[in-house]
Amino acid sequence: MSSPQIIGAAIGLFIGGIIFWLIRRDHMVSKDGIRWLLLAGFIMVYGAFPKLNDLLGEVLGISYPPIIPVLLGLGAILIKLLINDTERVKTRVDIERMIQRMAMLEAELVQMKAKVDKDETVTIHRDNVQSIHSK
Amino acid sequence: MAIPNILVVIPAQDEALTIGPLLADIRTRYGFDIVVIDDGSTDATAAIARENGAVVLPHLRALGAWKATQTGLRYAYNRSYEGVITMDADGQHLPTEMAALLSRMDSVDVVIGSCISRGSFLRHVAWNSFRIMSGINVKDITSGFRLYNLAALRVLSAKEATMLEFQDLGVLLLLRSLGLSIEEVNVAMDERISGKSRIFNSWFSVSSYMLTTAIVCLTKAIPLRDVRYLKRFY
Repeated sequence: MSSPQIIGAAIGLFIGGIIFWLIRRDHMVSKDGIRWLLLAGFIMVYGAFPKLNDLLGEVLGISYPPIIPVLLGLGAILIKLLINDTERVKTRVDIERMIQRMAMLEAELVQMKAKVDKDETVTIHRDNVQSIHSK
Repeated sequence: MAIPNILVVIPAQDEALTIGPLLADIRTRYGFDIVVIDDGSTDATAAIARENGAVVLPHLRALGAWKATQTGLRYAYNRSYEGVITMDADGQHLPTEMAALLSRMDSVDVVIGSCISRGSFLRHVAWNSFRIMSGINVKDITSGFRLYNLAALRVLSAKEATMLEFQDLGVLLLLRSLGLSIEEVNVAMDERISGKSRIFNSWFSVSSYMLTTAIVCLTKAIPLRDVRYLKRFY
């Protein structure tokens, strides 16, 4: 295995490791992790066996130009997407917890309203009794 | 023995057919407070639950069974209940079996009502695989019939628990990381009367569940011991 192959596989492994850590430390939900781990596996296999690229190129009739800047750009986009995913998870969790809190507050409101209605009924009843007695 | 201050938490989505008799049964037998989390029902589930004396926590939109359960756990934790019993609204979990959970409440943090006779052969294969992968010694990992004490409520009310997708292995692994004890007791369960499983209802959702749970198993099989992480829960 030549060094570019090792580097390619190492990049895939590195991304896989990051995803593993992000899920383990609750920075990413496991559902999103599936996609990222698949991508990391794909990069690893593709990096380790670049001949797959030639095979694919042959099948599709595309040559294999040295497009390092494009690859670097794609790498940067990949990192940006990963950060976006973790941010999105945070927002999603916040929204879900707000929905949970709203549900709790709504229930509390219903209970308080019922209590106020009950208290008012008691007060009205007491006033009525007092007025009857005063007559 | 004094009756503990328990809240019964029931997540429900379109369970109008079964919720009424279930609530009446629980009230008659135990007199526990009951909370029904209405997870985006389109039928009369919420109204029937209110009629039967339950507090209804209505979700603005459906969040799934685990997050609906967590709403109930957060409610219980905020109101200082000593423990929570979670159960399904579809008639699978029997109020008569609550006594089995309560009998172990003083000894462990989490009691799981286990019924391994249910489920298909494939489901058993999945359960066993996940058990081996995660190292969690629980046979019925998907049972939603559980009792959580106050320590477990505190952990499961945290933000980190909101990131979980299902009330199964992820929850158990989180509790194990925090050093809480888990025990299974055998209980009887009935066939589901209404509704359908939110996990095992199509090949796509089964595959998604299997993959998600497998990743949770692999990433969290070794308990987290990092103080900075554990501090988030206390």
